[in-house]
Amino acid sequence: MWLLVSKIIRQSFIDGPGSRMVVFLQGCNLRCIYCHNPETRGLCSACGKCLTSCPAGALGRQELSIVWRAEMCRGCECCLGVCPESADPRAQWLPAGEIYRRFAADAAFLDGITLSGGEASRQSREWLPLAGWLHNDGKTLFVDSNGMMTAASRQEVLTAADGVLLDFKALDRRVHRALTGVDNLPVLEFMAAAAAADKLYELRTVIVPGYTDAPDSIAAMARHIACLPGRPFWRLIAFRRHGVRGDGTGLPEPGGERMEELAAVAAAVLGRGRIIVR
Amino acid sequence: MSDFLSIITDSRWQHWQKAQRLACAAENCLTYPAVGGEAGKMLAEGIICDIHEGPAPYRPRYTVPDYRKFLSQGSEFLGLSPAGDIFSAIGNLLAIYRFVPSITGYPVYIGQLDELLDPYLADVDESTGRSLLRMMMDHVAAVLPDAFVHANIGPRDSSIARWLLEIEGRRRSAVPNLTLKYSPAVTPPALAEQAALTALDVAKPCFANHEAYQQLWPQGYAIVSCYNALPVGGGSHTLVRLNLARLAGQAADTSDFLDRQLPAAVACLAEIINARSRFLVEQSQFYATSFLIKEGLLDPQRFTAMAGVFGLYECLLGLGEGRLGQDDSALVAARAILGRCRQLLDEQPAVHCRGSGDRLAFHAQSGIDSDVGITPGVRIRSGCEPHLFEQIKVAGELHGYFDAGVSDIYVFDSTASSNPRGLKRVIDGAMASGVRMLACYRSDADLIRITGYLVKRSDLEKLGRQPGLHQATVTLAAGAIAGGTVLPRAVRPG
Repeated sequence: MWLLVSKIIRQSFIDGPGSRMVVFLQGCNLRCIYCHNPETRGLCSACGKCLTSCPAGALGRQELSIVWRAEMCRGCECCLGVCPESADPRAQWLPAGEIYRRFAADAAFLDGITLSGGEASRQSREWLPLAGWLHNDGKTLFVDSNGMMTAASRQEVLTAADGVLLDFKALDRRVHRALTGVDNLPVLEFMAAAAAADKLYELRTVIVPGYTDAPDSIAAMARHIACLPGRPFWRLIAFRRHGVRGDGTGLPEPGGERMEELAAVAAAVLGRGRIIVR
Repeated sequence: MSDFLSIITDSRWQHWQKAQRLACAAENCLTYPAVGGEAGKMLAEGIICDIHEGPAPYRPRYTVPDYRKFLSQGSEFLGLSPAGDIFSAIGNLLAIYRFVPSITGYPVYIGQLDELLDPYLADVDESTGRSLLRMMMDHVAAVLPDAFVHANIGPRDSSIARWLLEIEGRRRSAVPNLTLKYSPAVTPPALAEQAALTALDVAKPCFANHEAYQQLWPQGYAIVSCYNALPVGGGSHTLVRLNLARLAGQAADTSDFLDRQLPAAVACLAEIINARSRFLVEQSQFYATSFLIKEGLLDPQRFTAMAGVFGLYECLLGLGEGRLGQDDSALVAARAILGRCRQLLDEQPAVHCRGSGDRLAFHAQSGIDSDVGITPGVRIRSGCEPHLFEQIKVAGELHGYFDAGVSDIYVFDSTASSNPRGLKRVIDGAMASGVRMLACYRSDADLIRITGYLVKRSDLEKLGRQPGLHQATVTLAAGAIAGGTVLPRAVRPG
């Protein structure tokens, strides 16, 4: 089972419970206007446009694919800007066993792995064995998802993962469409299913002025969350332009006061202990 | 004599600070305990350093009184009755601290406060208990203004431990230093997480590996001063340290270092330590006269003497073994060097060291203000740290050589504060990897660790404008920063 991996962070404190390794999987089914890591969205078509963009000569062609030579890479990320697919030539195919091997070397310091992306559920069949290996070690597997997935993936995520970190981009369908291009009904269905399975650990909302920063809509989302079983956390994330491409670069960033104000609105419904502001 | 006069007429110091300096100046007029020519040369060249202990030691460097015994029996010398309630327990402790000697003039250990005070809590309600503890800490910080003054708590849960963490989190003072004796098997997760969160904010408590230290010192240990692990009821006569970096400068290669330089230097180190211990025990009359000895609060049989090393990082660079934390060759050489040091120390006589089974105690010394470009103890140089997990694994490999204290420091970014469970996992992992003592703080915190002791960034900034601050350790910290080995440390994750 091979996974297309965008990058691996050996440790994070903000991707689920405890200390976790985070594996970012390449490829996403949404094109959100505020996406802060757009290079994880697409899959390489081997068009070769990136080859000449690399000042270090770290990119080359091997048969039908693009190869990235890590030892030569200077990390300038010039290649990302020219990619018409929003892909990343640095993405690597790794066997699930290799990911587990890297985890095991640091296991003393980690509670588990969080699969993020991109959209992690798109490779659920491939990462499924990882869950069993982690559970054998008393560790956990969490999945960070946008909630848009096939019925088969939903089944796999909700049975294999110990918890889900789910994007709750907007409750209002028009706002969700404006941000993502698609309706939020599948997300709300997945949210309900995950909560019913006692797997909904955290919901995440990016606060974008003009889209998701109205106190009324935050209150409505809070009430929606309050009706879910399992008391998930709700993380309010301030939109930041860093990394954003296309239309999103013109969006304003919310101030700290605005974030605190919205956190207070959310806390009034859910209690302060369940609200995280970043 | 002009030295004395210049101290007396110095406008920077309060009178008691002048009195301390006058005492040092007076002691420095005396001749050094007799050591051989080679040892004298190494002292003069700075290969061996006695950390300005003075030529005529008249009190042990570190004392670790048995305060439990003190509370149960009172003190005839001080005219104090046994402590009958929480009021007299705290009153008696505050009374005796002033008379507990150490190299700094302040006690380097003020007790295992949870064990000492928890038994008396039944008499008072929680709010009175908290107020008393707060008053006690304010008193300690005002009267004993030195960041080497060290309190211990743990590994078991107690009201005192939890309150003390809360109080110290709010007081935001460098004094007292605080260590949690930590055992993942005994310490409840909630207490460990509270301690970890407090540490992020105020750089204390440190976490001591209780399982490891309990085995090393089965009759009881305390963490005192700057990460020193010593037997309770005893202490250490002296601490003399070997500058591994400077010694490496004399070696042709690693085998020359291991086979020729180290044996000669360790022999000199032991000679100096033993000469100092002998003077202290046999000539100064400390152990014959101290009321702490007469009343059984200190036992000469529980004392040791410490041999320290520092500058391992630069030593390895100098020997061409690579960068500790980056190159495998450096770790292999580091293990060989420390193993050889321990073996050579064990071959030396250890005068008046019954407290450590007639062996010299081995300590990774965490630096002083005058160290320029030399990394404390066996740490990785600040700014050159590998990934946090690699740093911890390296420390875990090296800490096991030291019975009398060794430490590492980890700086976290602000995300750690929202995830105490994750922080506890990292600390548990460090303990399981063999780390014996760790300190951590958050990158944006005011209280930070300088080599080992605590200091406020805001006090350091003040020092530039206003000399003669209350805490002597602030001045030391400014020197350590100027020496260039302290700031900035790598921040985790990232």
